Amino acid sequence: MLELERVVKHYHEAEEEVRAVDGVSLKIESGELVALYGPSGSGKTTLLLLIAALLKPDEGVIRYAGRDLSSLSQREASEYLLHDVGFIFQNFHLMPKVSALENAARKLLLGGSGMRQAQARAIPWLERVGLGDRMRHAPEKLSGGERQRVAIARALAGEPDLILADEPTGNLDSARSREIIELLHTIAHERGACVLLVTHDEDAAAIADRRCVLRDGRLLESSTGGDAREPSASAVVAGEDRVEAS
Amino acid sequence: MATRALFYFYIRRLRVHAMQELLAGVGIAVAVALVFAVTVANSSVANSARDVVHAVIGPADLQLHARSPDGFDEHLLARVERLPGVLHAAPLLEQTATVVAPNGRRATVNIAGTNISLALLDGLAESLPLGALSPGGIGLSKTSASELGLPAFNPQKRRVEILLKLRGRATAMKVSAVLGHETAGALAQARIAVMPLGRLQQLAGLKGHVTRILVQSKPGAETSVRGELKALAGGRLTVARADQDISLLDAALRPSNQASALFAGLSALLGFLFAFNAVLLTVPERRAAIADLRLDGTSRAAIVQMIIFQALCLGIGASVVGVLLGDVLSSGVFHQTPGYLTKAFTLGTSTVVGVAPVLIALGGGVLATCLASLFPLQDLRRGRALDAVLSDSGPASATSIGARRWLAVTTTGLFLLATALFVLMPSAALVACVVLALGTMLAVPLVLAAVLAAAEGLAARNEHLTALPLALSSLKATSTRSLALAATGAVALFGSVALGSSRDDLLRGIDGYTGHYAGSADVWLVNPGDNQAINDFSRGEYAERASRIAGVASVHTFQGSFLDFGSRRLWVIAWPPTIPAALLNEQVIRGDRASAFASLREGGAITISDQVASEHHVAVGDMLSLPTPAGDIAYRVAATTTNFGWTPGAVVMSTADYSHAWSSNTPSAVGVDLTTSGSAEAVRRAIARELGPASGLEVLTSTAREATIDRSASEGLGQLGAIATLLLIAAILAMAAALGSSIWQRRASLAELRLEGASRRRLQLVLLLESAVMLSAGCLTGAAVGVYGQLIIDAYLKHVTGFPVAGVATGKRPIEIFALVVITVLALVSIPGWSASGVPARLALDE
Repeated sequence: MLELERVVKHYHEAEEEVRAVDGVSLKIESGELVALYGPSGSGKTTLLLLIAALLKPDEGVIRYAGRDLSSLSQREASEYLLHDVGFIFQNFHLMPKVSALENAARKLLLGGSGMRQAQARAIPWLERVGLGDRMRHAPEKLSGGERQRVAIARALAGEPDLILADEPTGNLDSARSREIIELLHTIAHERGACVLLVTHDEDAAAIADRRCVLRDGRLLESSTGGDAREPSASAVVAGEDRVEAS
Repeated sequence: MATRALFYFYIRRLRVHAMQELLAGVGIAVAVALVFAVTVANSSVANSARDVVHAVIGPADLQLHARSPDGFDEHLLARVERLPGVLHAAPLLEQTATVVAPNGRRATVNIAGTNISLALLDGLAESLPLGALSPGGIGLSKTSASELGLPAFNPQKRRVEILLKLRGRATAMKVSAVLGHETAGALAQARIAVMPLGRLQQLAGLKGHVTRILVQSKPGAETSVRGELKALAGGRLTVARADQDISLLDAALRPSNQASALFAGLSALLGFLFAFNAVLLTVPERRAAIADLRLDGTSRAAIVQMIIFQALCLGIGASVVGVLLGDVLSSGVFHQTPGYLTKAFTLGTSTVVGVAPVLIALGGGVLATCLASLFPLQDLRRGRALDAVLSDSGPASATSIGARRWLAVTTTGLFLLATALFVLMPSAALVACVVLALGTMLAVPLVLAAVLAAAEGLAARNEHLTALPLALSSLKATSTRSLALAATGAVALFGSVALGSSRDDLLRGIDGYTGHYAGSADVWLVNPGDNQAINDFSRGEYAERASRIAGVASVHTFQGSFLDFGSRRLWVIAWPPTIPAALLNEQVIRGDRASAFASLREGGAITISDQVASEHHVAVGDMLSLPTPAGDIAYRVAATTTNFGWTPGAVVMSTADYSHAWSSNTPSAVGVDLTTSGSAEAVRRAIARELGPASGLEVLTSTAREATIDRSASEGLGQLGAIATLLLIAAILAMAAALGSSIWQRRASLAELRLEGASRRRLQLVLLLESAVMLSAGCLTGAAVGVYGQLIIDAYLKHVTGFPVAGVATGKRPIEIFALVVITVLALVSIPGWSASGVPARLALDE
């Protein structure tokens, strides 16, 4: 389970303080897909970096499986990213001219697996995302949706319990977007993984178990399919916007 | 597009991609510097000598030249002056001597003995200090004086005394003048000395003799004067253009220039690759910029204009820096006057930069930049406007099956073509080497594919090699850049192995000849620094005095001089018939060594360098007429030989034939054989004591003489060694820069790996493996083909230039060069690699 408690992160730009994340509290249970929805500059990427332990919060606590992520050393943070987190990017970040299988096995190789072992573990995931017959193809030979599926297989091959997807459908049409989000949704349920989907695609967010809206660094509301609202008075604790997980 | 707009876009580009542009500029500058330095070095000796020759001859257009160092009767001058078409005539006696300074430093100089008529002819009379031709003194050029370590001084106030060793006699003399550029023009840059004619005649034991008469004919009278001079010469003197030395020097320099040109050609090819590769690094950004402009509705013509403008800015800027850098290199690393030629020619020591090298270097640099910059223009094709935005595949792959098949066929064809050229036309070695270099580049994708396949097999069999598959994937993902870098390494290794190893073979060949030559006697008596034994002794009793020393079994006299024959200044080696002609060992190209020596001993026969024989269309057994001091004499060609390290070629004859044709019995070297109990060093010391310092001769053991000849003979090849070394250094730096910047540019993709949890150490290992595999594939290809190139160059040097080249002995050199390049480049790129591996992971999310 991922838990954020009154997390604050601010930057200083030209002697002006910018509160990129402003007192966000959020819980994501195992098997749950939460969409973090918000416009550009709302603090989505900063929040993602905080959850990935690449930034330390100025205030508040982020816990994953009971561990305080802000207390991790650089090496522990790497281990956490390697074994517990799976990242999916908008631009897929696949190596060109290298087969889908090799791309999918990359993270396992980074973790120290041998080539054969890494590929053996990656193949079921490629099959799972529907690329069983295209795993020898290089990304250039695949469609946008297929490329994102390779990226998903790569993120999942290490069997992480936390999946962070940063605008994974940003480069796809609506049909492919839906397909990808549904796939993530299914996988989250099947594997009992926490999935945080960062997006500004409303349709994609609508498929999620829960939808959170981030605006100016503040988490406004979470809902289960309905529209996001301004936080209710009960959700505001000690001057911070706090949204309890439903 | 308006010029202002072009500048605006370029400045904007510089602001955004300053580092990339800088790296590309560095790559181009290195390449241009290499080409410029080599081209200048190649032409500098001849250019500076040309200046010196023109400074000596002034307006003279003809000359009467002695065929023997003993010269001819100076009374001929009066007869020349009386010829109707002659305006001025000036006598000249030229000798080679060694000057020893009080500090013990010595220099070999060409001494010119003349009188005021030469100064009048040259127009130097007004500027030449009076002391320069004052009796009892010697005037030294500024270069000679500085080589002797003589401080700047005023001869009027303080006199410096030097020791002049000339024709077996040492004489103490005062330095009467130091001739700087303001008084002697280009002569100041040459290793020369001047003194009054009468004094030099006395010191050389050539009273009443001169070696040249320079003639300035009246306008339009050159032809008639030439005829009259020929009548005066009577077939015993040479009548030639006054600047004949320039063409003779050109011929002497031709073989080493041909070899240098071969090296320079390969350097240019490599330089072009460096520049191309450097610009290739900026291609992705340029493609993206084109895509943006097209989206903004910019016309294709305007984009082409902008790309060419930017390429010209980069090309011209970097090429100018390259030329300046090359200038420093040419006057530093490459600046060396081949000392072995100074015995036969008056050479300048200055670096003369002609217009051609500047134009070649600038033009080449700009052209390479423009060609490489044109690559992004492929996106201007219809329907490809957004390729740079939508496609992350990069340029077309050279690793597809079809491409590999094409490469295999083309590479095989090129290697076959190089072989055919090698077998059928050894003189086309440069073309064959360029063909081989092209073949090497095209072979790189095949070798890289094979290396990748082998490495993949290795990784598959060894599960613990976990970083290797990652490195291989990265290599495949950036195949175009990897191939460009590997190809650079391949050509660098090809050049370094082929050129460096050929130079080694040549040095070993010269070493073999000098070993046989110097080993023909146990102790030698020669004029100081006279490695070729071409300056005879003015007195002949030294041999007799040496023979009286205890421990001496026998004494042999050797003779020799230079002889102008056609366009060549040949080295004449007169060998005593009493000892075996060991110098012919391993040097005979056509004919039989034993029967050749028998013919020499018998008389009336010569051996001659193979390329001279070919030039005159004579074969073994044919007669060849040589223009000797006694007139044209026909000799039977007993065998043809190498050039014994003397580029214009050599003639070997018996001392009996030489004495007859040169009308002289005085030796130019004396060889001493010891009794079985004699110690070479003890006898050497005893002979030196017996002759005393007044003889001015050097007494050397055979080992010491061999070492001095080797040193001198290899001087001419110093430039080749410098080029090969510089080629290697430039290759290492260019590859390190390109590889380093390529790693630096990949920080975004490295950040992705960091985001996936890769530790810094693991990324460093991946980068190291990736670089090692790529470099190894390229360098391995280059080193292997380089050995073949060595064979071709060896054949060229032996059969075309006539150098004594030893058989190919590849030895460890290719392996050493391979290891040196790979290890040095890896060490250099470990710095950007270390820095890039620490890229913050959040960079992957910063798009």
